[in-house]
Amino acid sequence: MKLKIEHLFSGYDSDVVLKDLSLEAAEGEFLSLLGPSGCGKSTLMKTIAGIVPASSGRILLDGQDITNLPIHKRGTVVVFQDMRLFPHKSVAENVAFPLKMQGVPKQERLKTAETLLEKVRMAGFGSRKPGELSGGQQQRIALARALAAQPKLLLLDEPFSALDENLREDMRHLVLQLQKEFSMTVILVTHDREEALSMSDRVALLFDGKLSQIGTPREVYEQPETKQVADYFGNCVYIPGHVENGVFTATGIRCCASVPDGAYRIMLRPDCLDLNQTGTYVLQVEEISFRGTDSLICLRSQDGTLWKKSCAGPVALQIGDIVNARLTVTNPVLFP
Amino acid sequence: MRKHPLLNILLVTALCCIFLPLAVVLLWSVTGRWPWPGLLPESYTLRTVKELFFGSASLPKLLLSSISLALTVGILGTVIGVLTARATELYRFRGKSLVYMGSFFPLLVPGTVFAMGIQITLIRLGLSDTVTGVILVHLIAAVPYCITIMTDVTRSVGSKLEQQAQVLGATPLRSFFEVTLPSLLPGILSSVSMGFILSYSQYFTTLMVGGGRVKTIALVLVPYIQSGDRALSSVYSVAFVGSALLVFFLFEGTIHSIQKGEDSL
Repeated sequence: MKLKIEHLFSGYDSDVVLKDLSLEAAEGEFLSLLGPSGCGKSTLMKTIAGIVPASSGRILLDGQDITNLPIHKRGTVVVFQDMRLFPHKSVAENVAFPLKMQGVPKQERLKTAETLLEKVRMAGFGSRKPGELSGGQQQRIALARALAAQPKLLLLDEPFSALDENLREDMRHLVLQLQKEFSMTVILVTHDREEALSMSDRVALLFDGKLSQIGTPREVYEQPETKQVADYFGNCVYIPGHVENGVFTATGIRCCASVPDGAYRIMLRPDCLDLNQTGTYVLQVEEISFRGTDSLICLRSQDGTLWKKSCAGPVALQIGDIVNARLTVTNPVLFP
Repeated sequence: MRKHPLLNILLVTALCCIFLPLAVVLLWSVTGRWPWPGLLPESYTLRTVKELFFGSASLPKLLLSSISLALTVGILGTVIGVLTARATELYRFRGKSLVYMGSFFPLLVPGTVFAMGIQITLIRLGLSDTVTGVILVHLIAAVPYCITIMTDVTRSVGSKLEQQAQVLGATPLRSFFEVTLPSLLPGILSSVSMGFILSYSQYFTTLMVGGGRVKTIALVLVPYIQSGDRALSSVYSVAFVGSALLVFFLFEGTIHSIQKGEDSL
């Protein structure tokens, strides 16, 4: 294991933010820490980097206990949301800064800086001052500077949230490309669900200073272990029913369930609702809104459940129509 | 941007308030006789200038001791200011507000009262009549101002960049010198200037603690003003203001060239 966190407690003064958190990340893995603001994901990142001291527990990096190591000896580099470029240094000096700290001679480190600037597609900007650059450009420089430190572990603290949508896509792509090229272990702190799901090898969900679930993006999205996780990804519909002899039944739904008998609610997402095929699930169209690339159709089932389904292409339905749709449940997620 | 006419009037008034008295002092410093009600002096003389350069207290020596004393106070005061500001702004510890409040205590006690009291302590310590003693007493007067200036600057600079530098492998000390110090430089300039001018203009404390052995330009200037020799006190005033300004210009120039030098790297 590259990074191993064992029973970590951490926080500020009397305010305990992380409560008994354990987590592992493999070599070369892209792990996202996802959760609402205030859930402790930034504190976790700062505790790993040594900016916030751990009150108990252990952090192991490459098998070495770094829990009490000072920040500069850890080899964990953070790219912060606000970039934090050094305003008095030129772009090249900024990128060469970690090498300067390592005692690399000037010519050599400036050469490395130039190579790294090419990697982040900022060649030729070396002599500029950070203040002369746009937000996206500054973010690239911050990334190049982090790479120059040859981090054992790269920590990204919501690095894309300050950028506009088009730039963000670009930067995500660049980060993934560089992560592969340098085969780095990366931990991304984010509250953006899409970002976490699309970029990561694994996603760790944090709520209230505790790890709720960790798994591949598909796992955490399709098989949430708690209702909190399911709700965080949103767009869920819960239908009450009950399980008898390993079969879950509710209005219009019947599926296998490997849980003890009793009353449950099944979590469903709109993708299991097929409006184009005739089935036994009866819905009425309440609202249709056109959104450009698709249309959002709001439907209400007989038992009062509201579904929000996005449909690409032209919609043949009209408000008030009754639809007999098919519900396909492959991996049922049941909550008591 | 167009300036408001009132702003211009204010500016001119302010400049007059500074330069008119200075012009009068300049004129007085070469005046031989200036009887009432003449608009200009009756006769001019270089007696005062001769006295200034070749008189009992030789000017170069006086300036050297004054300036080096004031610079030492300015620099030491700023070092204390920077460290105190960092402690109160960037760290959390018990009794922090007391430390911050305590840094202002010297302002509450009048300088003369304070000088009388501290002299006894300094005599006990064997620091009376020494340069070290004078530096200490001047420092106590200068430090509250240095701390105030550096606290504001430190607050606005913060520790974010330092954190970033450390994450990139810089030791805490190096991260301060590499990243924070350049941002603090304008504040440091003001703080050193403040400490300098406070020490440069101290009279009573220097007299008490220095016992006349530590000579500064203020120490020589004040008796002339009291004795009523207007021409001589004027020429010393000109030397006082001129030398202080000269030091400021040199100081500002040095800082600028340091910053330029960093830019061109």
